[in-house]
Amino acid sequence: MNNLQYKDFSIETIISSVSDLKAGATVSFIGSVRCEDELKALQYETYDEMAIKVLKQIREAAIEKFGLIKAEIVHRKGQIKIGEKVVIIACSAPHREEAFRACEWIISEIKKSVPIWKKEI
Amino acid sequence: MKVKIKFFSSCYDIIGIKEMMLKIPKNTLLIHLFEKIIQLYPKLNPLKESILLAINKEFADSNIILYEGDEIAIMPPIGGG
Repeated sequence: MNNLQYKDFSIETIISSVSDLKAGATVSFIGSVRCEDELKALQYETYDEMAIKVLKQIREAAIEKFGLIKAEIVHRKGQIKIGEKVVIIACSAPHREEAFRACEWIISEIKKSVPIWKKEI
Repeated sequence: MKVKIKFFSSCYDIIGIKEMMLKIPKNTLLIHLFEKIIQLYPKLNPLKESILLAINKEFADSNIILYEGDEIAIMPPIGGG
């Protein structure tokens, strides 16, 4: 699955991709462009090769750290309008606690270490 | 030896260059290359303390030695999500 793309993603497809018979919990996080003052959209610029690599490393680290069964991350780039989705994280785990913690950890890591920048339009 | 330098986001906006090749002596440290870039493009100086550096798509300490063909990224603080 591409983890960095221009086009919008299907929430259902990504959540389904982490489903597993051993998973007692599936938790997802979706980040969107919120309506604020004069804002029309956000322009996301990326260092593609590094962003793809770091997103993959974060996914693998989360699986290891939280004992996840499966995890997926998709981040969009380019121009994204108010209300549109920017990022989705889906984690499945035997129990809910690891899945919740993993989702939060992953989005924090994305904001810290994936070379993506946004500008207001 | 030659290295490739890429500028992203506000660093690119400030100097108007996306990518360049630079000839540097062997055993140059990343910090020395960065200082040279600041000398070449003093408009980057206000961002100096916040700029992030990567070598070959990995964040790097500034005391790392550079090698022929390395790709160095000059980036402002990131902010995805």
